[in-house]
Amino acid sequence: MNFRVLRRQTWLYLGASLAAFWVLVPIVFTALAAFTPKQDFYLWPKPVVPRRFSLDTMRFFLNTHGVLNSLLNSVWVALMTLGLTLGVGAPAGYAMARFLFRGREAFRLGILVTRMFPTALLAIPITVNFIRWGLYDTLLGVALIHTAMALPFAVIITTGIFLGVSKELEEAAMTLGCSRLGAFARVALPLALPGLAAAAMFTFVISWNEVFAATILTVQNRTLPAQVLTMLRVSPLYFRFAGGFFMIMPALLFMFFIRRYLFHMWGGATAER
Amino acid sequence: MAAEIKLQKVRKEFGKVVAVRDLDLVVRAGEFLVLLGPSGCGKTTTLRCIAGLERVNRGRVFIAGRDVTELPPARRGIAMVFQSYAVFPHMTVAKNIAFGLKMKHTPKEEITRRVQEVAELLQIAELLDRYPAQLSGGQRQRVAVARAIVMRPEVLLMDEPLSNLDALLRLQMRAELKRLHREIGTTTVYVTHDQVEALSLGDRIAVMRAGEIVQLDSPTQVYDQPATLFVAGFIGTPPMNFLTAQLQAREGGLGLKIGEFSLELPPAWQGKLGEDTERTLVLGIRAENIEVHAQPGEGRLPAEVVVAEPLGATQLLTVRVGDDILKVATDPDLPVQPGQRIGLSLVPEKIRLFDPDSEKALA
Ligand SMILES: Nc1ncnc2c1ncn2[C@@H]1O[C@H](COP(=O)(O)OP(=O)(O)OP(=O)(O)O)[C@@H](O)[C@H]1O
Ligand SMILES: [Mg+2]
Repeated sequence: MNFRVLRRQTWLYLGASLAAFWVLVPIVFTALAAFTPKQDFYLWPKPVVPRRFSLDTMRFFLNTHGVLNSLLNSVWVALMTLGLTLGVGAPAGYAMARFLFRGREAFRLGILVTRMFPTALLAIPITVNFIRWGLYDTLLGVALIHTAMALPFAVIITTGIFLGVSKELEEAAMTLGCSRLGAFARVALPLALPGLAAAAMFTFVISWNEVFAATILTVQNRTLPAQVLTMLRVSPLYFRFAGGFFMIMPALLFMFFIRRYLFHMWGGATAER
Repeated sequence: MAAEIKLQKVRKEFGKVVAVRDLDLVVRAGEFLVLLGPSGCGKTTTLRCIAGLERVNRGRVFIAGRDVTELPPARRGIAMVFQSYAVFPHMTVAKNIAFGLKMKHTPKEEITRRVQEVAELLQIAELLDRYPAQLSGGQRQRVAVARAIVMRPEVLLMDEPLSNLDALLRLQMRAELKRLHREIGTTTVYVTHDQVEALSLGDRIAVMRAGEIVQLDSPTQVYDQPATLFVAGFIGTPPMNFLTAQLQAREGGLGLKIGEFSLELPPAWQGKLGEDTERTLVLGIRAENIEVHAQPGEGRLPAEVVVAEPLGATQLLTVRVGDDILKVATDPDLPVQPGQRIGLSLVPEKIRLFDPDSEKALA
């Protein structure tokens, strides 16, 4: 009797599986290649289950000069970007959602306009200025550029998030003894957390994946993508897989930990809105 | 516990819109005052001005004799129930109710005790561990009320708390709110645009229109002696009927002429209608104060039935008298057909007279 529901479910799961497959296959192959001993790497046809497991390639990659350092750099830059972007973007989004101020529409448009100019175009002036300001080849410099890239999205996303948290909830908190700030911290912020987590994830990944600015603006203090990019061009194939796997991993881990906030919506906070 | 609220020439503008127009109002300590009026007349804004959620443009707000005009909501000694309930979705019912007490750094044991107490009062004690998403609308509404009264506020503000409930539940909660007020005795300002709610709950009703209070009286007074045509036409189901009438001086008293029909006014009106005894007035009378006769006849106001609606306990007739349309309540067994000519007699004591220009009630 529930044939239609069943059929719809089947299609849904089929579609989801296909999408998951599409995303996962390259990751799996990358991972397999990264943990296959050098000698087995060129075997064909590839065994479905790897016959031997080896950390050699990974160890070699990690021990290569500059990799570990650039990994730490990447984490630092991404975290700085995250802090700066949400630190500036979330309050801006909150203001956009709550207050009617003169020039709000212009502001909204202005935010997007900053993304109009390709980074390549800005590379030279930015580099020149960064050298002048002593920001060239520093992690902070890279983080600032990444912040500039992520901020427009962060503002737009957080505006949407705070629009979703009813103003009356904050007002209720205020009538119950909270200050304006207290009401924000105790009510709006916890309710916005899942959305903010998504914004954070997005920001982190933007910074983590960004190559161009990071390559141009640094010499010694490379981030991982910049380091890997320059290094892998001259490396053997299995070594590239190890690098690729290493690039994917932190982003996956980050998503894994933040996922909880995305799904954990207090059994339907969205319905309340 | 209960405090007096005083609004002095309070004015609130939103750009060009004047939401509250120089409002003067005193809510007595312990009173249940209802703000009643059509949509957009400024009820919510008035309430929010008392709560401190809206900064007034002019005027002052006093609570318990204290000028609170510049104070934030947290320091006014008020609690509020919102139309949307505004129950915090990320907290359990217990946490929701305890929220305000926690903000005031009340000792833990006392919080637990008072939350339990108020939860029992509102019959939600078994829901304390649930999240709002797991509650029905009516239960959520109770949580919102519990969260407000657990604070033992000097003033309780409610903005259409029943409007999101279905009809049956609304009836039940209405009685419950009345009981609650009797038990806790807090000064309450209650906003609604439902006049039945207003009549049943209010010690007094403030009828608002376009940012002003047009009448502030007890429910019976507002119902029986509306101060203006607006109040008369807004309150009651159906609202008061209006007839164009000609005032006439006669020997031994005053009379009214409605078309060809003439009517003697009770002697009480003597001397209350001013010098000009030859002018046009608006006669107001409620549906239940008109007696219907199946036949026109001597001393009866002739009318023609337009629609007859049986409503169970009564029958509601829509009738035409001259150019005026009236609603008349009658016995459900009275046999009338659309188009039938009937006779009406008006209960003279229940007649209200209005000046058609100022729209104000006379006497
Ligand atoms: N934040 C605001 N910004 C601009 N105008 C507003 C704002 N709040 C209310 N108004 C306007 O003020 C007037 C009074 O609004 P208010 O909400 O007090 O009406 P109300 O009597 O509560 O109506 P309802 O019964 O529909 O709730 C309306 O004309 C409304 O459009
Ligand atoms: Mg309202």
